[in-house]
Amino acid sequence: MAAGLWALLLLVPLGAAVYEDQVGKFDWRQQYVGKLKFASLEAAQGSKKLLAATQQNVVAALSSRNGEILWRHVDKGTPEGAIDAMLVHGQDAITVSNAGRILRSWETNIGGLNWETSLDTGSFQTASLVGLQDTVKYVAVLKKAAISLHYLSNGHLKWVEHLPESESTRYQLLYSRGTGVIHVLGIVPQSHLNVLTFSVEDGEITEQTKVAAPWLKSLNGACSVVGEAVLVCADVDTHSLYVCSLETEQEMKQIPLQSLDLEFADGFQPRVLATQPNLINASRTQFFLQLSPTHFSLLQYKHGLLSHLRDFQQAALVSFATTGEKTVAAVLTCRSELKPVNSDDLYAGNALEDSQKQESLTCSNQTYNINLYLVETGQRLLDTTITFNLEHNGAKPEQLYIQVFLKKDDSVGYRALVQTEDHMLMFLQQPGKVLWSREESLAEVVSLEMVDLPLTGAQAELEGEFGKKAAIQDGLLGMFLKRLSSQLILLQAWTAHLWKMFYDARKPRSQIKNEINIDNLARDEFNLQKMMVMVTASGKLFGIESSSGTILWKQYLRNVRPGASFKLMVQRTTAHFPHPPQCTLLVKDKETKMSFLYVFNPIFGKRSQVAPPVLKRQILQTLLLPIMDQDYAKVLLLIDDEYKVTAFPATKNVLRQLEEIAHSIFFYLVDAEQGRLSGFRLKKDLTTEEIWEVFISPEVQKIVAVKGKRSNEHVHSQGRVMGDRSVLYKSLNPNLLAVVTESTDTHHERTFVGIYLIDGVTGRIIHSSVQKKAKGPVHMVHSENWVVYQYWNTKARRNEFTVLELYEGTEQYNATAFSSLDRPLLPQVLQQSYIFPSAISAMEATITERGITSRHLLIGLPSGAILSLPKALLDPRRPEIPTEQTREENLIPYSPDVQIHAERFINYNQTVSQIRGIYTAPSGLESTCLVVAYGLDIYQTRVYPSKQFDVLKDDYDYVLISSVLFGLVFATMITKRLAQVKLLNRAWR
Amino acid sequence: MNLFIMYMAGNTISIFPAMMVGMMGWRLLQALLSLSTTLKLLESSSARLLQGLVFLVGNGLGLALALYKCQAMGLLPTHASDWLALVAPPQDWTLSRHA
Repeated sequence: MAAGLWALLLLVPLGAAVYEDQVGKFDWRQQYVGKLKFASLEAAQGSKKLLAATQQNVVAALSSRNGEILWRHVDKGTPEGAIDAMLVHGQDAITVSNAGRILRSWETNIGGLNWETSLDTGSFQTASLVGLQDTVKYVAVLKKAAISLHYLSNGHLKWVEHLPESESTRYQLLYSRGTGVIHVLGIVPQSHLNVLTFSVEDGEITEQTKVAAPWLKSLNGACSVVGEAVLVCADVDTHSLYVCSLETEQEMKQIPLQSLDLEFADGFQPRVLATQPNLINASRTQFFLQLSPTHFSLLQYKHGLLSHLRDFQQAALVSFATTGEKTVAAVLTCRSELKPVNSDDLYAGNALEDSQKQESLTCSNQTYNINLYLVETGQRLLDTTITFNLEHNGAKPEQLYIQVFLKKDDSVGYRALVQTEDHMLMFLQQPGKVLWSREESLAEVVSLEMVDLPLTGAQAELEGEFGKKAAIQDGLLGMFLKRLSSQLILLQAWTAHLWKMFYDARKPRSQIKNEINIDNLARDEFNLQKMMVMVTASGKLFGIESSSGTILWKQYLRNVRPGASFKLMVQRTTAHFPHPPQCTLLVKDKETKMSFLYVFNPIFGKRSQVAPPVLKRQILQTLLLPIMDQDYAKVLLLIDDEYKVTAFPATKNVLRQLEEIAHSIFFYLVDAEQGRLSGFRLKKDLTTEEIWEVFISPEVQKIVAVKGKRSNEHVHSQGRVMGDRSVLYKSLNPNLLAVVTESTDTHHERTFVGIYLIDGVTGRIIHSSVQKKAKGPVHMVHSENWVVYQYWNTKARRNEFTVLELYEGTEQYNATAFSSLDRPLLPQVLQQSYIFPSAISAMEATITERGITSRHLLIGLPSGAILSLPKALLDPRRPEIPTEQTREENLIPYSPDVQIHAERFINYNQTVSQIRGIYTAPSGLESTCLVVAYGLDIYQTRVYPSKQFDVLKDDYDYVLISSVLFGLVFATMITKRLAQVKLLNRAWR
Repeated sequence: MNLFIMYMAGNTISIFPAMMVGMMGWRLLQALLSLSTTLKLLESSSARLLQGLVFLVGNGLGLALALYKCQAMGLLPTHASDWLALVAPPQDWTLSRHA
């Protein structure tokens, strides 16, 4: 009862939800779909949407007018939600997901689910629509050992058949053309093809043939079906094409390529690309043969004759499209000659360059053409050129989808959807207009920093005025004149600002447009507006203005390969005018483990002039020191696998400073595979010596996370006031590391989660505990003197939080200086656990400028909501039985369950799908913390953990207060006058 | 009388007890400050010194009572926790914060 009352009391001041009129005022959300896997564009001029299935497990419809999302369905972010195939027929889109386990049909206009069926297990190969007579009625799904046929209208199973010899044969192709049979092609590598013919009606095998093909390794890519069920395969060894009619022949016919004057490029696996415009008719007899990465040839196989229609040298991408009776081929070519990338264009990283030269063929001037060709003849259609330029980002096109339609005069018009390497989607219209573009790489943000904006020009002028260089140049008089002029500029700026305010005040609120662009970027009074520097998995960097979400700059790093890991560091903030701010990105390749540094200006996105060191060995750890060089750039230390240290910048000044303080620089390394944590100390010659090592046996448990504290965190209060007015001092060890391990034994009775608190300088284990019958994934926040982590309790089958807090006791050991080497007393560790009703996807703590404001935990839930949970609820000092003293201390009595209250969601209904991380940054206001949640979507907002104690409220009644004030002053004046008159009158009497 | 009032006022911090304690302390302080004028009044008296002393001690006792009352109400900054906000964080001489 008492606990309930306390909980109620606590709730009252914490209802921190937004008011209706505050929606969208401080927050914004951007929704993405991710990199395209499958896309479908309707072949009609008036079509309004394009359908997409993406790598991020999203099925969506985008508006073809402006690229907005019409509807979107997000599946699980794990491989379970992966979409294996998408087929579109009329108003229905069929998707196969979860490794071929689930078949779904979507209504494409509004995005509703028509039906869903689950399929048998078995590795998914391919799926295809099957037509009978003149309609498409079925969906065929080919698995490793079975084929099943489903009704398109309701998903019900028509039949399922086992495939013969499925152990040795890999079935990979499905083909049907409305004749009542389905051909299934399987291959026994380097032996023969197995061609099965199934009857659509009852699933009976009507024919089974074996075609010898000892040269063939795989069907995918190398083979396609053209015309009336003719299989065409390309073989690189014999330089020839093989053809075979699936219905009549039992042997493959060899056609040497020399007869067509064509040749395969060395070391390239040729591909055959065919098209089947209508599923109830035969495929087109024309097909593309890809001879090299940039060489395509349009061929035709008709009546047993192979003919060469047109050759496309230096084409990057090709695509077929059909409208009505016309089938066209779209070819994307370079406007000028293709040539290998000049190695100067690539950013640093020698090792990566060589390996990439081979494949990175790109246009010299980044201008591309798309042309349409009629497939029957190979003729180019006039006036169908789209020219577009990708100069600004330097990425090359990767996928091409064409939407063709017949114009009124029966000519062919088209629009093109191009996806580039950096996951940008562009929708193009003739003759080269970009209708819209989407930056889909933002669906995969991996690292994020918020950088203060620079001062306004006028402020910067004033700052720069007394710079040390200026003082030497000008004399006294010069300085005085400069001051006068800068004051004048300030006055001018101020009047302009006043004028703008006055002007805007007369307009209704909705009309005021505060366009933000790169030229008028300036810090606001409270530093609430910042530059968000985002690094995405594709290697594209973005600079996004935080108050509106406008992308101000983007930069694509071409030599970043998929799977690379990134580390973003701010070396110089904007506080050192006229030196530009400087960010450094460490990119580590997944396979070679080699790294390179990319240095840039976070405000303008330009690559910095500073040359970063070339890293010849792999980098294990980085350390950003608070010491600066003469240009105010913080020193970055990079530790390589020989335990040698590289400093950046490495000027003489820096090296001298490093020599002086080398004895106080320590760092740690984590080798999760071998379960080894080791500590090193820097020596004067920039080599290192190992000073400690902690071994956590990888056979029993593996290290899953190591977290230190945030370097920009301030702790205002050194202790907590107890009920008897004594102080419980916090144990604030800035070098403390929290290490989480998970057991290798995953049996639910024996699995455990371990947590170690280790001093990062001395390697001393300050606390260790084991949570039995617990399982990851573990989410952890480590801040101030506490660690909060969350895990799955396998015994009680629920999610739990555990909080650890470290205290020194009522006396501080050394109040003036802290040293990890001189800590004779172990801290007291308090611990408590709580039940949390939901799984979580991300967790972070709020952070403020001076650390006075109370802390909240921001918890991203799988539902897309972000819960702001007061840290006071996860406080190991919460008493089981409240006493006078605990009440004095405002401790809430312990109750094991932490509830999720909808009013604590900071993003109200703006859910963030597939949350992967939450980033918090302090603002200039102590009460305010900036929050960015990223995943598939990006959501930015502000939170006020202790309410807005330093700002007047939004609804503060200025009018009432000032009118009362003025009224009172006025009344005083009148009464004074009246009193004078009265006095005068009395005197006369 | 003062004792009784102080007893009745209780130890909770709210406006009336605080005002009472404040008034009492202030009155006594004023009395002490006007010691010279009081002494002047007593010039005619024979036991001037004694009377003056009694006045001083009486007022001093009253002041001590007020202080005690303040202490009991928790208004005096005599605990470590009262100075906690001014405690500066200890300086760390090692550099090992990882970026």
